[in-house]
Amino acid sequence: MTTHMTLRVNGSDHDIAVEPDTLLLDALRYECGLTSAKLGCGTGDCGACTVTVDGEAVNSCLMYVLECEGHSVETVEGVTASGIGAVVAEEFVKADAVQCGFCSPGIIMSTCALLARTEPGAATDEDIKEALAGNLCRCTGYLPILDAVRRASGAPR
Amino acid sequence: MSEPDVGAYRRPDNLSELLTLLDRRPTSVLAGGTDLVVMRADGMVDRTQDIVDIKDVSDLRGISLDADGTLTIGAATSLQELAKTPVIPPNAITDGASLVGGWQTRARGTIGGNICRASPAADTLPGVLAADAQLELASTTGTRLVPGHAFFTGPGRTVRKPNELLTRIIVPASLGASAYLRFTYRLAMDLAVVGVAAHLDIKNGRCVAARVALSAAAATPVLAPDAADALVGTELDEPSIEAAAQLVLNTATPIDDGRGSRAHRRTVLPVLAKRAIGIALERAREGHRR
Repeated sequence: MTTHMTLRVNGSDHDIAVEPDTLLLDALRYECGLTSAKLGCGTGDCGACTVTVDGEAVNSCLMYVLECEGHSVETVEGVTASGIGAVVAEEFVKADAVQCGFCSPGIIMSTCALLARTEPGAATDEDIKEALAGNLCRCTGYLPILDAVRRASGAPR
Repeated sequence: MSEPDVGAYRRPDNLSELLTLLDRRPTSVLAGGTDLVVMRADGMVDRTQDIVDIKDVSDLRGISLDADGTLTIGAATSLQELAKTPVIPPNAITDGASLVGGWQTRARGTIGGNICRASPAADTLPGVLAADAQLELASTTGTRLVPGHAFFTGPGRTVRKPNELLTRIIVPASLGASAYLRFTYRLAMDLAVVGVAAHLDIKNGRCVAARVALSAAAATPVLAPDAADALVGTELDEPSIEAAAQLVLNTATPIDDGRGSRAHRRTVLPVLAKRAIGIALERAREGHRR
C-alpha cells in the first residue's frame, strides 16, 4: 500500500511515495536522487549504506524509510558541502584513503558521527576503530583511512 | 496472480495502543530492525504481517537504578546506550551489548530485540541469565514476569506469545560483579563461536552465590549450574576457579557448524569460563556492584 511521507535529508524536505517496507537506502537513492549511500551486503555487515539519522551513524539498508518520519537524515552530499564534513572529505583525498570509493561515503558518515560526539583531537585510535568497525574497505588496508580520520579529528571546528 | 499485500507500518506513541495492535492480528514487532528487516526480506518472517514500530513509546526506553539497587532496562533501549551507560559499572549485560555487530547496528539494535530474536549465540543473553534478570511481558490482559533462564525454548523461540510485548528487563541488586567474554575469529563484526557470562556474589572474601551462563553452547543460552555451585563457598582462589570452569562442560552441548566444531567449542569453553570468572572477581574487588 503506497503512502506519502516527508523525508528530511540534508536539511531539505522531500515529499516521497513509499511502501510500508521501503528501505531508507532505496528512498534516498531512487526517490531523492542521492546516490552516495550504497547497497553492499544488505545485512548490516559492510557499512556501505551508512548515513546519519539525528546525528547517529546507522545502516540505511536496515531501516524502513517510514521510521525516519520526523527525524533528520544526513548523507555525504550534505555533510561534505561545508564545515567539518568538508575537512573529512579533504583529508580522505589527501591521505589516499579512497581507492575504488564504494565504501567511502559510509566511512565518511561514520567518521562525521564520531567527530560530532568527540572534542577536537580527542578521538583515540580505539575510538576510531570502534566507530569504523562496521565499515568494510576491500582496497586500502585501512591505514590511510585511520590517518585521514586522525587528521580530521585534530582539525579545528 | 498478484502478490499478497505487504503488511502496514504503524508507529503508536503509547503502550496501550501498541498492545491493542498486537492483540488484533499477527504482527511483527519492530524495535531496532537490524534483524527483522533482513528476516522479512529473506522470507523468514511473513511480510503480510503488519509492522508495529515500538520506538515512539518512551516508557520502553531507558536505564534506571532504584534505591534498593534494582536495575530496570527498557526493552527498546539501544545496545549502544546500554554499552555506554553511566548508570551502572561494566557488567555481563553491558559487556555483551558492546560486542554486538558494529557501531551502526548497536545504535539501532535493542536489548529487547536481542532477547526476543533468541539466537543461541546472542551476546546479551548469557548476561541476562547470569544476572538472574526477570523479563516482563505485557499484553492487553496484564503483565507477567518470566525469569531469563525460563524465557528461551529453542533457537529463535521464546515463551513470548504473539500478543505479548517484552517491555522491561528487571535485574535484581547484586553483592558482587559480573562479566561476559566470547571467542570470535576477529574482534569486531563477528558472532560468538562460544561465550560465557559469570556472576559472583561475594561476602567477606567468600563466594556466597554464583551463576555461570553460556552462549552458542546449546539450543538456547543456558545456565551452567555445576560450574556455579562449585564456586560457592570458595574464596575464589585460582584452583577453585579452574576446577569450576571445567564443569561448564557438564552443561555445554554445542553443535558443529560454520563458526566452529563441537570439539573446538568444548575446548574453548572452560578457558573462557575461567577468564570470565576472573574478570568478574576483579570487578568485585574494585567495588563494582552489578
